[in-house]
Amino acid sequence: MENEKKMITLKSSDDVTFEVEEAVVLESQFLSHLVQDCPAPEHKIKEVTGKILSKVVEYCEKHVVVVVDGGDSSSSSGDDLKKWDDKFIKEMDLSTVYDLIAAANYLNIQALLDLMCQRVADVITACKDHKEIRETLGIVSDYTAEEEAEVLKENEWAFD
Amino acid sequence: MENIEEEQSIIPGLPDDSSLRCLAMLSHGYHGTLECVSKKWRDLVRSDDYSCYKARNGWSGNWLFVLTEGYKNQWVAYDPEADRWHPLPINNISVFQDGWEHSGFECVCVSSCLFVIGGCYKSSSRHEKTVVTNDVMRFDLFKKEWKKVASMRTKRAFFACGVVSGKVYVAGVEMSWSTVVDIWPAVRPRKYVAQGMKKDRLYTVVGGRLIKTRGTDGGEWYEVGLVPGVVLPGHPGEAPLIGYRFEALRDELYVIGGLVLSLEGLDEGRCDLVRLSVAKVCNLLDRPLIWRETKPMCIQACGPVIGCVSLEESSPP
Repeated sequence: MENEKKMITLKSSDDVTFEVEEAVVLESQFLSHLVQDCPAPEHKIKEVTGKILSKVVEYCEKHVVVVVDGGDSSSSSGDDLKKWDDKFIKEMDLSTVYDLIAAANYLNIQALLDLMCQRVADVITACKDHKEIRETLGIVSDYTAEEEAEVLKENEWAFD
Repeated sequence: MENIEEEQSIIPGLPDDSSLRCLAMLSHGYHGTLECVSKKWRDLVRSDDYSCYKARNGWSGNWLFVLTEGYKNQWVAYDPEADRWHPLPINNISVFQDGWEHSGFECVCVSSCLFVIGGCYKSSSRHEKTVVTNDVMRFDLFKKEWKKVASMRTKRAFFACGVVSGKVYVAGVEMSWSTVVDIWPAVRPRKYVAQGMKKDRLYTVVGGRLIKTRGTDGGEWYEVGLVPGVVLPGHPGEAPLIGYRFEALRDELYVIGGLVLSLEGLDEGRCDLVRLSVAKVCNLLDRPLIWRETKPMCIQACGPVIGCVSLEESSPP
């Protein structure tokens, strides 16, 4: 039981430290292994900045708490968690989303990775056409005028 | 030009494997728009990597497959997430191509594939006889391609077909009209029967318009509403819809295509047929049922529906 309250310190690439419960760290596959293999009190994560690590910690803390509480009223807490996730990603700019995808990949936090990729997918579906997708994501089209006309014709149905 | 293509990542600022994951989350109705963004995106969406990635994660999306009469056997599909119809690739597998209209077949969805089974081909030329077939064609919705698979031992048209535990069963012989008698409130063709609400409720249309339901494990049938009629200009009240199909997908019920008789020209001795190109949808949880329209089907598909089946993405375990 005492183990549940074990605290672990994470240090970002720019030396910002976060003190978190062990359960929070276990949300990340990468950190679980690290903590098990190397019982140091502090772990430096060179690949993640303080700004992004604070988001990761915020996400993991929320998801740990809900899983522990969720024993009796799982459906409502599932809904609450979804609402929290929605709020978490709302208003987040794309570069933060990209950084969180990289961090979730590196730290191996599947749920966070899915949430962030879903956010990118949502940004794409919110665009009204291919031109808006290019603008939003900063993509330079490599189609020649003829090629573009051809692909547009093949996909006529995709436009109103 | 080659160099620019090499250098630009799929989504600038993201590693390509992460971009693949993001784009693989998008359902089939969006793929046309994605293909127009850049060559890189088009090639990705059409690649084996993309289809395998979706397949591995079970991201099939939700599909409503429809074939309407007189459209050269060109199937269309609806994506409810995107509210968009798109044509399936032309089925160039069948030996019957231009001038032969397919009907009397059955279609089912099993393990992320659409199967189009048997049926007959009617020629547009009067001198040719109608041909009944035992062919089975499969559309793989991840690879987006048609393939001819093992034929039935017997040629069948207008038969019965169902799926139990991932296996396809067919019953009935050539040209015998089959109806499922014992479990329906009346003898009726399968086209007026749908299974919805996580597959545990049956819905059926009685007397052309009345929708009834009951659980798949039995119980009483009760009414849930009416198939919506069509309001035509210069027509008193709602005109009854005929030749439509009735299908359930997720928690929604669809009434697809069909035609109505317009009496507008009756004074001049005319009776016009109006072919519908939209589907009407309602949420099965709403009472009374509230119907809304989807976008019109693409490639001008419309009118009587001769093939229709839905496929629902299975939720993760």
